[in-house]
Amino acid sequence: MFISPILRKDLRIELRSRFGVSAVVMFLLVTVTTILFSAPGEQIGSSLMSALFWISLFFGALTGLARSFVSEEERGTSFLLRLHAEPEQVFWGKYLFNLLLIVSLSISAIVMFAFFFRDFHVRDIAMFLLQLALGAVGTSAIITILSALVARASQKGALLPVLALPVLLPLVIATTDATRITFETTNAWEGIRGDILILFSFDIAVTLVSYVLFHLIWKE
Amino acid sequence: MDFLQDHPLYVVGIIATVIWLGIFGFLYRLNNRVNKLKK
Amino acid sequence: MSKFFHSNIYHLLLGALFAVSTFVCFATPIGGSFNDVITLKMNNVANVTPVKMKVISLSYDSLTKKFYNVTDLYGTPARVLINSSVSLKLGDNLVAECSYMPTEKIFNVVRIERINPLLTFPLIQGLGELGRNMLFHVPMSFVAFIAFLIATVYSIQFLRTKKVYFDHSAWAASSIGLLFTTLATVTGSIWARFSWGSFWSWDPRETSIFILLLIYLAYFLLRSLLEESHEKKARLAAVYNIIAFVTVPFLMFVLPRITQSLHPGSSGTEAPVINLSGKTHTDPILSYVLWTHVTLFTLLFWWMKDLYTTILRKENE
Repeated sequence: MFISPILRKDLRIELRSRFGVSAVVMFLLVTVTTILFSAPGEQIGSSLMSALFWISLFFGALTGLARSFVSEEERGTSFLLRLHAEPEQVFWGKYLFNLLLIVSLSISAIVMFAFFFRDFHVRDIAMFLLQLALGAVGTSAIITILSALVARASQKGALLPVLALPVLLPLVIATTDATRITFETTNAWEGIRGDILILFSFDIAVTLVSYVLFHLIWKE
Repeated sequence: MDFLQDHPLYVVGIIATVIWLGIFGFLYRLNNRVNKLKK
Repeated sequence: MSKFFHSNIYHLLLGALFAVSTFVCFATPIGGSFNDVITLKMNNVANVTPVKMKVISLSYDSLTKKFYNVTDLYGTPARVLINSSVSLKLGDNLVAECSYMPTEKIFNVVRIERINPLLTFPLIQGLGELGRNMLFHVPMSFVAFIAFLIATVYSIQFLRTKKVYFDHSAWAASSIGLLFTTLATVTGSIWARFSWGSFWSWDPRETSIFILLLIYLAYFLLRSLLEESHEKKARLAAVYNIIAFVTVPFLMFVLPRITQSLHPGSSGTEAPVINLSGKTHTDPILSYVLWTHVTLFTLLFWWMKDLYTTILRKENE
């Protein structure tokens, strides 16, 4: 499908400057620190822990991933991109790059939470990783298409969180519920089966719709 | 509130009234826009 | 044909049907079974419960007291005591509030609601008169869903044909969908106050309807904040509308059914109106009135949408 040039380009820029990953890691660090300062020594239950984890992830994703299209507009390279690549290639390239960003965000989040919070115990690791992966895929698709939409608008600023967060909320509900259960039991499948199904179908629906609609946003 | 708790039929009445007030309010605003257009 | 649907006769007819339907919703008595009387008394919910029954025979007659043999709507036989001068014939249907006298094993009629009613609604334990809300609150959310669905269809049509009419129609339909969603939220909140105790408790069903409000409010925010050409604004708004609608089935039909919630139809309960087993747990009369109401409100929505679309077209010419 010839998507690699765009992905490779973004990866190369990223490796050179490390802007995306560092912004994301900094955001996480600040968030975790804020939580630690505002609730020092507090016992954090599993549902609160799950909520904090996903709040950090979703807002981190919003800050980190929004740049993918906005930076093209700012650098003036989006016009060239439109000329040289098919919209599908641009979409998959950006989408996969955002996915990799979210994966690095998730890994950093897990590391930081495990290190800083003594109440962060994942009992069912396989299920935890599964719902994390599904949540990441859905978040990446939504933020990719919506940041493309916002980038075409002349004022980008606050529009992305306003558009993306409500649409992401069903994902938030499913993932926080699933994470909470993986914190509580070692055999989480029975409890999170419904959530996994929702995440899976939501991901498929959203990725499909994003892929189909992307060229309508992308063209002039 | 106690009165409403003891007479639930009035609660249903309030709900129906709220619905129709909402719909008529919306139509009233549309009507104002029509009048502004006609001017 | 189209002429009729824009005529005054149609509007008057719709209004008349609404009046009749609303009257039926309020005037139809609610009658349960004798089992309901006993269960609700045992659970300390209510001492007196309305029962729908049919008179079989007169058991004992004095000037002030009458004992009748009756069967309730499920066919359960019982004896009732009526302390009034009302005389009932064999085969009469009766809806009356009854209390249970365990020592004598008879039911005491406290108040007669209706003799030989045309229609009755079934009693839903724990709801009583509030059950009538189902005929107003549920149609609101149904029509909201239909409105958002129509808006998405129009958005897709706009993206395919670029005709401005479809963009205006999507705008109008989304707006009315937002109206009905707000009404569903407000009526649900009022119902919750008198049924569950508080106006808002972030119950999963309440949360998902709130999220739905946010999503479509964002649609209008997008439309007003964009400073592009009309065509581009419409195109981007149409794309967002489609993305937004992807979440709607999850928010309205999937998520509230698998999480634990007080709302009927959540995990562990059986949804009375739409469920996978095909048959509904609602009494047929209730179903008919409910779906009639849904149809009437949908027709109302369609009229409002057409009106709003014309306004938008004239405003943006």
